[in-house]
Amino acid sequence: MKRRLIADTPLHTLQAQLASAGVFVAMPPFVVHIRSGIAVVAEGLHRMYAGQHWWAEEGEFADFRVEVRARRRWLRPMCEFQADGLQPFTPLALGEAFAMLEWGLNWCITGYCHHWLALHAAVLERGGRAVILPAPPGSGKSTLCASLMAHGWRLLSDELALIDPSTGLLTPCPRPISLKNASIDILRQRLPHVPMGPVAHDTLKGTVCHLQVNADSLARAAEPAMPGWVIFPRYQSGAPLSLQPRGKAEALLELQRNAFNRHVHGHRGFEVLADLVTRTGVYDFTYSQIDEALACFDALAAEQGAA
Amino acid sequence: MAESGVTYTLNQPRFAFRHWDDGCVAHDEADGSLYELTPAAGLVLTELQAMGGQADGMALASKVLQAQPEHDDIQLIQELMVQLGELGIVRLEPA
Amino acid sequence: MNLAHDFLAALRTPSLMGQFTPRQWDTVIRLARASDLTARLAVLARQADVWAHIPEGPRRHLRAAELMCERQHVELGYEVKEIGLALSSLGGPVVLLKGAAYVRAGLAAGWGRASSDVDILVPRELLQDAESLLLLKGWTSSSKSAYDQRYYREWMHELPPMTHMKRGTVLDVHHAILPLTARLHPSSAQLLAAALPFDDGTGLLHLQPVDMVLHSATHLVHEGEFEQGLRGLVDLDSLLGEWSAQPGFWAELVARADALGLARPLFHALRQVHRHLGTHMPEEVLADVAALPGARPGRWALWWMDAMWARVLRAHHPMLNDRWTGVAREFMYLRGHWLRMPPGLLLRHLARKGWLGLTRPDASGEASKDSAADQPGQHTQT
Repeated sequence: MKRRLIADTPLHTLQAQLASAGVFVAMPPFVVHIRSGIAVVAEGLHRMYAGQHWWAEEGEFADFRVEVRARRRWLRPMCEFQADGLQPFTPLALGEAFAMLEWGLNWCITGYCHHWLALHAAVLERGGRAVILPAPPGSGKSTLCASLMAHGWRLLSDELALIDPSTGLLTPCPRPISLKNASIDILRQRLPHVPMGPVAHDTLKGTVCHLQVNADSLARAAEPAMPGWVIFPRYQSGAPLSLQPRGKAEALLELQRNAFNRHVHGHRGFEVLADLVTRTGVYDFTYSQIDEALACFDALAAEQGAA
Repeated sequence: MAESGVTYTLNQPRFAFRHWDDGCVAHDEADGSLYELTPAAGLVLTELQAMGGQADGMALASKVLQAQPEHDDIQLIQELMVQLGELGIVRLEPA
Repeated sequence: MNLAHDFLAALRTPSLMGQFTPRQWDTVIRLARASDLTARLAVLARQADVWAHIPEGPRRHLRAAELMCERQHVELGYEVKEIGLALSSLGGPVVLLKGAAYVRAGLAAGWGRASSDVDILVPRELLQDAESLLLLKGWTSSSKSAYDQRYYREWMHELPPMTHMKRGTVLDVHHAILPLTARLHPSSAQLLAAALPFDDGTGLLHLQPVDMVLHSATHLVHEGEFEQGLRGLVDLDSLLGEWSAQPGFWAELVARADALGLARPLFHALRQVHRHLGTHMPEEVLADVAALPGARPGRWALWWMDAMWARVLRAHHPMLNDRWTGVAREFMYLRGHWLRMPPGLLLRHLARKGWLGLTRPDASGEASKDSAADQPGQHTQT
């Protein structure tokens, strides 16, 4: 099985293969098979997954088989996402096809990840301990997450904390960081050398774009991480930096709002989350300046032992 | 000092709970609901569990207080248990 | 079909799963997912003691399905307790049907089986009382229109689906296993009389073994939509495997089919389960069933039905489609409706509904295809 690095593959080669039999891409811990005849999907894949491997030959187990297809609806060019015959979304404008692929992959993973206890949260690791950042959309989590990654924290995921219920450890699943609206410009300024993907305008979520996962995070994608902190972040313009410990019981209740497959694990899911808040430093975090925020996280990481 | 005529039984394995200084959370396996309880409730449930999951008001109050309970203490326990009974976490049966 | 070979082999000989290559697993998992049989493969793999030999990739998917199913079984346990409590004063038998019964009875048919709804059977004369008792305990009737209500109560064999307000669980209350409008009328009284109690304190009952088999066969054969067709076959195969070694079982099954007028469904079901899953059955059984009055269709009808069954009973995945799959699905869809509502009644039904171009959503929320197919609450496969 000849695996090739996407970065070493000319775009037109990738595009041709994608449009015909499709490509397998390693997206640890998953293997995904993708087919698409749409140019922006090939471009997005080529840029955002540059550091990852692909191959064409059948023979391995693919966790998901997806397709993004072009369609015409009343003369408007659209695209639709299919996961092995299922179509979970209504079609979108053709220009959003790469974003659609990413959303579709999220759908697949969240639909079939019940092997783990899963939380909607960003996860990054430093010095052997991971910080879990549960946050609803609009909390500035993506900007913070991308900045932390560029600052030296290993990215496990910008969206999904996967906890192994038998060990309590976090499984990495690093994928391009999804950015919306204001955070796109902020990060373009902050991180001008980090590749960003195709921009999709006027989507349901506004303007949407992705940021490439760095090489270090990818290289260590097979390394689970021990949780060290659970931090509920909130961006508030002009607000002073604030890191306040949070009560465990209250934190557990807040956390479970982000734990979308907790019920599948029954009591064990409850115990896993209870252990998580017991053994980690749990905080509320408010910030308005990214550099201040990074310094605060550095200080946390420098502390010896759990808080 | 009136002795409580009720036996309190922890509704296990349907309910599980965890208890910290700042509060207690109970989990209902039947539908996945979580209940936020006071630290005091957590303490009482922990002691009840340590007593094998079943006790009467007097015994429970003694264990919780680590001392001979007053009438008021047993009253408080009773009220707490009634509330927990409404949530289904505890069953109340005549002794 | 060749592509499904490994998948079907895994269902019949679970130990084979210990030797599948990643490539084989790729196809098997896709088909299992499409047929809602992933959890069953997981259970079978554990029992065959090959779990440790399964590569990590597919094993994660098996585990995920296994967890979902285990969770569903826990919830089912609480649900049947509540149902038993609510109907404890009914004054008549309450029989748990299909998937819920298989799981609660600990049958092999219940392994890895998750069902969304619970189905029960009660005597027709107690149907109203049952509904009242359930309404008292927090269930609500899901149908709104007067037409729906009438449709269910007069013509079908069940109440409109009932949903529990707090738990959101769905309960289908039947008084017969086939609609009143169908051509076959297996006697509910006989089914209820032979029902056996669960040993779990709920007061609920389950059908006796041969009746469970006949119900499964009838349900499969009368179905219109076959997304769960293969699972229905697996149910039947499993039920037969549970009891077929018991002396006198086959003879009793044939006799009971005759007594209940279910010879034709049994004929089709046994024939298909044998062809598709290789279910063992004594030679003479098929002949005995075929000999029953009304059992065996004419030669051409049989040839046609075999071709139809061959398509709709496959795992419901595009990779197994051939030129005839679309035709077969449409034919069987219409046949399902025709079996439930003979032409005379269909026309009247049409006249009331269809001419005005009304589309009424069925219980699953999808708009009806056309008025002839107006069927609120396609009773959910479990």
